[in-house]
Amino acid sequence: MNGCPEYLYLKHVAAHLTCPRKERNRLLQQAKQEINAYCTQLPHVDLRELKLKFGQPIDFADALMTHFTYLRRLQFVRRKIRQLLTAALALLCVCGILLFQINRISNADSGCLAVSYIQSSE
Amino acid sequence: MKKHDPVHTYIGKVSRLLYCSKEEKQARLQGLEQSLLEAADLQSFASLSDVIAAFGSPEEMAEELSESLPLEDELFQHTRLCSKLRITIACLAVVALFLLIAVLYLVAYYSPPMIYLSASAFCLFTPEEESYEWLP
Repeated sequence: MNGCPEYLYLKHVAAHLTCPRKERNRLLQQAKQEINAYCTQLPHVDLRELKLKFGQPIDFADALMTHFTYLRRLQFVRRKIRQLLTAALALLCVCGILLFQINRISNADSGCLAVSYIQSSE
Repeated sequence: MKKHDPVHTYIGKVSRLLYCSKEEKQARLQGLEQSLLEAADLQSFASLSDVIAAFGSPEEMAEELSESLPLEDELFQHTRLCSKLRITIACLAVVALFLLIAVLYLVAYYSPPMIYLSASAFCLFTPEEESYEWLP
């Protein structure tokens, strides 16, 4: 299923659907129905043909989101960017804490290595 | 000096919803400010809701003011930035996971107290004193 042209096309369309999740799912469902209807008529359709029929994914996404103004979409994307930046910062902090812990444990227990060395040399 | 009257509160709200360069924003907001102040001379605005009743919500006004702005390009750039951030977060999550595994491994490996046994001697490791007690 993941290698299907319709799946790939929908994935590209989904990347350009800049709206809240609920609305996004509804629009994706709508797009899926349209594309599946076309694919049942032409079972061996490829991605290039889908792009010829429905246009570039970004244009198809724009057509789906006609009732969303660019300003509203921009507001949504900016809010999303803020959330993602916060998440990235939090993850960086977690990585920093973990690195600090690794350094601390290695330094604090370096004596064990000496013991292990003595033990192995015996 | 910051003004806190309803007109300027309204302008501030509209300003936050405009996505363009500083100069462009200033030019557009100046026009809005003029018309708002002219309207305020005719009928006084006691609160923000009075301004909204006369001029529409800040969202509507921002839509109106950004009609000729190239928001499509801006949206495209922001969407790309969003995808890049998602990839960065995925990479960071993988790194964090590996680091967590490393910490858990180190904790398990060095967990005190540790008693090493050898053929000739017992070695008792006491991390608090950082010394090794060799027992015959």
